[in-house]
Amino acid sequence: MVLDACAAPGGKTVQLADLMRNTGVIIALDFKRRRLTALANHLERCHVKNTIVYHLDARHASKLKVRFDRILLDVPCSGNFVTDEEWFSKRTMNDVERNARLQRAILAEAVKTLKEDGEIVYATCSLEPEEDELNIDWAVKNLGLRVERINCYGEKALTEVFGRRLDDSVENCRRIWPGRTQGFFVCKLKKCGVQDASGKIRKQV
Amino acid sequence: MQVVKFVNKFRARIFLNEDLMVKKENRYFLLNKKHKKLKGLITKDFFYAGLYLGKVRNKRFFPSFNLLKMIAEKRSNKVIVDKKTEWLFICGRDVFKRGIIKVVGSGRKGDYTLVLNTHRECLGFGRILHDLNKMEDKDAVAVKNVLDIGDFLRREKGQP
Repeated sequence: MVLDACAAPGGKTVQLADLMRNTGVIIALDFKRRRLTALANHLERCHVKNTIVYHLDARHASKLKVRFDRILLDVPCSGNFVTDEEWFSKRTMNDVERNARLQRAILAEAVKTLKEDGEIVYATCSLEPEEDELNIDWAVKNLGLRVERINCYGEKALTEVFGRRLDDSVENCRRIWPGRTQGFFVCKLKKCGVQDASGKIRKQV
Repeated sequence: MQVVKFVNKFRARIFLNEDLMVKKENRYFLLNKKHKKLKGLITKDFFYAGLYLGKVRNKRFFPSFNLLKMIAEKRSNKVIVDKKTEWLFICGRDVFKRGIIKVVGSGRKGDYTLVLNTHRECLGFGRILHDLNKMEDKDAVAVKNVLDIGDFLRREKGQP
């Protein structure tokens, strides 16, 4: 069982289905109905048959009452200047911080629906540390996740941001600077804690 | 059922397990057995599930390209067209007699037929306007385009 929590327009969902050879089950969510049409068209065009799509905000994924083996979080982000020349004039620090809060809420909800040894892939096309390294550092310290090493093109992520020292494992994330691609941030997180009745995470040793 | 009626138009026989078929508003979907085990999940308000088969609008059935592919894999009415005709067809044009390489199944006037390229990929379907086996005028329209895969581009055109 795989969750694609912010699925539309569906490029990555189709790629997941291909990697799974159209078997198993993918649950794909998006909260913008208009974007779901694009997702549905993608699934039809590529003959995907293992996916169920819901019109649901990723922050409410636990409503489905399903536990997932893997979760893809290609979260909404601020993007970057490579794909948008007017990026700097369109966005303020408040926008970046608002997105970072939204991303943390999605991450926290995803952890609730993840099986005990499940994995999350977190990705953004933003180059802002608030949406990347700082969020992952927060997840490691608060959600019982650890950052796994990945074999991926890109540079080690930052472990010192704005004078703050982050968890050493954050360097396992990959920061892909614009050049060969438009710029990305990606990492794999593994659950290593269990949630108690009060919702608090206890780290497993 | 509208899906089965549509399949019959191509004189094809495909097995569609009705237990695995679900209808959501006017759209039909075919689930796999794994989905079936998650039946509780499917009964919730889903937007899309499994394999999309098509939709009914104004009492007419509009098939998906998944369903057309399933029909094309079985014995059914098909015409195989050359490369130029393939290109014109997916741009919404009709099929001229000259472009047809092979006719499989019925070529009778009024019947429906799938349109395939030389790689046996289904490009869409149309209605036969003249008996394909008797037709002599090679520059006349033989198959009227009803639906082609160019629809994937056209259906989202104009959307922001």
